Amino acid sequence: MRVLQVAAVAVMGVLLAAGTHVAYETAQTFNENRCWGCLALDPVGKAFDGFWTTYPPAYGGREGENVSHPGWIRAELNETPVVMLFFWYPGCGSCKTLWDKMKDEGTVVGGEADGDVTLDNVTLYSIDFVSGGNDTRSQAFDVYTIDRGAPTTVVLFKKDGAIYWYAFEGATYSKDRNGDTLTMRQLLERALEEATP
Amino acid sequence: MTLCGFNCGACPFAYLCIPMAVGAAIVWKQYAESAMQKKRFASQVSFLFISNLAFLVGSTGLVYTYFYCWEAPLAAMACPIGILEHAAIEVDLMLGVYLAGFVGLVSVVFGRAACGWACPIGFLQDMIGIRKKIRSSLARTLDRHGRWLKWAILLAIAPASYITGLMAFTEICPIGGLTATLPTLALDPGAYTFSAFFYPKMLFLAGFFVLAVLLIRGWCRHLCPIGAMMAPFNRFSFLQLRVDHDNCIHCGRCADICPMDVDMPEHPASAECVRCGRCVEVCPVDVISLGFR
Repeated sequence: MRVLQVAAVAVMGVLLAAGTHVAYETAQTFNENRCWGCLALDPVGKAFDGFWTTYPPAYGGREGENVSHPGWIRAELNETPVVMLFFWYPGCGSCKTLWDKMKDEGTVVGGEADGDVTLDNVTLYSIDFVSGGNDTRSQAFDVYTIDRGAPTTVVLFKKDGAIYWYAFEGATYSKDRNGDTLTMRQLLERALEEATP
Repeated sequence: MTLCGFNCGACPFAYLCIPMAVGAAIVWKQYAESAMQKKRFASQVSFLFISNLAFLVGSTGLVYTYFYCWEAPLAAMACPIGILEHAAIEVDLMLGVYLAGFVGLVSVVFGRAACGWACPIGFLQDMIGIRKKIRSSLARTLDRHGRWLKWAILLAIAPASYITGLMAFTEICPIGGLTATLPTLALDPGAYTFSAFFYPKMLFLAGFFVLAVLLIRGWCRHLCPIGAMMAPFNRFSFLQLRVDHDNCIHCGRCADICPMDVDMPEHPASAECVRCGRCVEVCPVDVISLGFR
């Protein structure tokens, strides 16, 4: 019996080793084409059809209302053409996934806590809205989130005196869905084109 | 720092933790009977979480050696049946080799213990199954012969997939319906594409629940092709049930409590045994043991 068991382990081990690279390649393909977690974290922006000035329909009861942009964001928009907000918290797997995806695509560098955006004339505020509770900037999360979902990513710019903005909620990086990270990159570039000092 | 904070809108586990908590509360009394069953409960809960770690690790390329759908929103591994179907459709020998190696290696070591200690679908059936023993002779006959169905299903999957070019079992898989289709519909209805197989799949899912409620581990007994893959290894796996026949008093308690209706204590290495250990703990003379040999 013992001989049979050991022989079986050896045979299965060889088969496993022989097929491992196939599984690795399959997993790589799968990861590239799937939005892990974004089913649970559905993006707010179903389609990129322009920036918002008031709250869009996705914000439910706040639809159509004016947005009370915090003073520090208004001040920053007087200094820099485009502001990007990234709301996250330590332990948020989807926040890390989204950040890493943006990092892979070259939109950001560094980590969530101390990273920066690579585009000129864009200022990034990466805000830990849970454990950074003493940071008053974390109050902006309530302004831009829909249902307190993390991560929430916001792009803002000023044009002709009005503040335009767009927000994603969740890990919106799937290639086959609206609101992926490449769309976010396009969003930043379009904001840079549209922004007027 | 907080890991939960009841921020359910942002939590990938939100669709799992609430049903799990309810289920755990219902079955806890059953598991609290012995130290081994407490360990089994912990193992089943752990594997449910391990099965859904894609939001942290993505797809790992590993294979579930139990039933869980790789299209589940947070599935971190691949379904062995899905791999078998892909291998058949694409005539990919290496994919089949990998599947055989992975499932085989786990099965050589543990036999069919994954069904009893890891499988979330087995866990679910442990929660909802109400009838352990079949009394009528007709039902016993059906149960005995019905157990061949899972082998027939397993053997049919590869040729059916190759001939039709479809994932023959997955298209109508009730477990896929439960762990992937329904969560997808609940979380993101707009993203779901209805196919011609949707209603048959839901019908099979309803059938699964009826079977699982009326007969404890009815799915494992009669229909599970993954259980069928691992079952032959029960006879020579390292993990074995052993019975000291010399000291057995033949009280029949082990056979009575067995959720799989294994003919205990005569056939401890039966292909149907899921190594749950219930027989070990009810034996009044401690002649049954579960361990690596």
